[in-house]
Amino acid sequence: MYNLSALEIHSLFMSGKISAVDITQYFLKRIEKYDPMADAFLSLFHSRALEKAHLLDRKKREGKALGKMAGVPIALKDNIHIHGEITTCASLFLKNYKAVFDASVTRFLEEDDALILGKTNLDEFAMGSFTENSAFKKTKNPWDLNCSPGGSSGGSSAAVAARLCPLALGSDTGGSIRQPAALTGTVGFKPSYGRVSRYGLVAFSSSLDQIGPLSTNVLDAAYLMETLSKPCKRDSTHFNGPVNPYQSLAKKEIRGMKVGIPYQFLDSLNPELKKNFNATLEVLKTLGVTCVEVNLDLLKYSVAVYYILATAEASTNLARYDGVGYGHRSIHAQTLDEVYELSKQEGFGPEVKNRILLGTYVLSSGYKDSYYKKAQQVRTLMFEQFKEAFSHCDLIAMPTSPSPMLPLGSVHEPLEAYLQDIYTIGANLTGLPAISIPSGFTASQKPLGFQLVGGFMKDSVVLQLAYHLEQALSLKQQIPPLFDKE
Amino acid sequence: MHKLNQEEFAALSKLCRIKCSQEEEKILSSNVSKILSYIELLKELDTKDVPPFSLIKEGFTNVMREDVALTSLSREEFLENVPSHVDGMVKVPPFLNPEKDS
Repeated sequence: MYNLSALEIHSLFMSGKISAVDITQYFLKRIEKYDPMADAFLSLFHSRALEKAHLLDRKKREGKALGKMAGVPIALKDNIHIHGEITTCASLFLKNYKAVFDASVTRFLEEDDALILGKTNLDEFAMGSFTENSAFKKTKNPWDLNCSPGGSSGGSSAAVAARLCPLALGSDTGGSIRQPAALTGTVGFKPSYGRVSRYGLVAFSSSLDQIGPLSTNVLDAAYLMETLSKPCKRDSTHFNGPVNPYQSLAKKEIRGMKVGIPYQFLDSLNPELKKNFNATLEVLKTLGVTCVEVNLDLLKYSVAVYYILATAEASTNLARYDGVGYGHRSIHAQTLDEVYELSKQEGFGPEVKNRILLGTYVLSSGYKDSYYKKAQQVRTLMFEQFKEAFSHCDLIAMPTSPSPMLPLGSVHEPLEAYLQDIYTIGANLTGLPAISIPSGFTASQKPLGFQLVGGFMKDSVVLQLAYHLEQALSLKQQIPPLFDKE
Repeated sequence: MHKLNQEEFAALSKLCRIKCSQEEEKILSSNVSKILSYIELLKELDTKDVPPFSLIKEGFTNVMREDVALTSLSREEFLENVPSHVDGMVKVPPFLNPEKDS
């Protein structure tokens, strides 16, 4: 069952061929067997998931209506709240924090009868590109256990790549769904900003964060998007538009579409990755898609803009972790000030501290105009440049990551890590939808990803081209050999 | 390169309310300085009269709900996460340490 898609599992359940309890037990057993190798999960919900599975089987027997995701197992990144369960954000600060409400996406998944199996590992507070900043464990890339699965949704991407579950939720602030998807040979989609409610997603950078699907194929991502994009009145940045039938929209014809490529910006790309990227463009051309050149030279500033804005917003969002009402409180604190200072000192990892310091600096008096305001202005210029590019094409294509998976512990310098996001950050800064799909392997069998970016709220167009491209690429080797067995 | 000196770093960590060890201070100070130098790159761009970014004009409308009280958090559930509490109240050390600061 591990090599079935989410849609196939749902179909098997709905036709009565397999029970929800059997599905749940199968995947929980598989996780127990293989997760010690992948280290993708931080927590598992045996009794919760089985209880839900029994309920679904009973509903089915009694002929009651079932949700559109009935019987489908899914994992959630551990920065998304499930009421009554621990949300750690992979931080010592929240090691024992019990969520006091359901995220909207959790509620939508439960309403649609999905089976939530557990929470996956991430970089602490979603800050990182290798999932190595987790306070608890280092997730391994299922294609090479000495390598990182990318980050910050490394746990979710590894879980899906190893087929420990067919679907997972991640969050993407600077590429944190797409980059790990590329590095693990899976599909990762970041919706348009505001398309999916952020209520219950622990905030890192409020104007950039988005929840999105990680899956083994594009149609499953479209399927999950139909549940995730339901209306929510609790997120004031939620677009609250109609839920699109993403699955059927993905199957629409793509002949005649135009894809824009910022060739100049891709000049310094590693030759092996460039070869794969160009080969993928050739496949697009066989599908009747035209490739045109577009100018996105402002993208070279994207890392600088991001590390001003995201850290500024993070410094504000993480100010709430003060050790008073919840989370870690230092036993050494003798005054109220020490409650704050020592709890943060002990609770936060080095990268989180790095970003809080940087964010506070760029917002501090005397600097706010030259850093924060400047970055927001450059962001406007970037949005305008993308808009201009979209007057010449329907979608923009770029590689997802400047490098394939890297050995664990190989990147120490923060700036070197930040530059891993060079191709993904643009879509977060401009709020545009973007997807990464597997596009092949390097000579040494490392997965590669191809990225498509669409116009604002044109999520279905992104899924549409991605779906047809994926079908045409029909990659033969999709499951990491170590996990391609019962 | 904008290097943060010890005084600046101390002021910054005070603003963040994070008490860093001396060793951490060295690493963090160096990291922050390196990144601050990198972001100087933005000075190359002319942003005169460019408005700061906002997606609002792309079709967002204000999402307001009815001003109706809904179920909130019960005290019992809230207290489950509180590190130290007494009689239903959150307990914290004093603002001033009577031995040190009076």
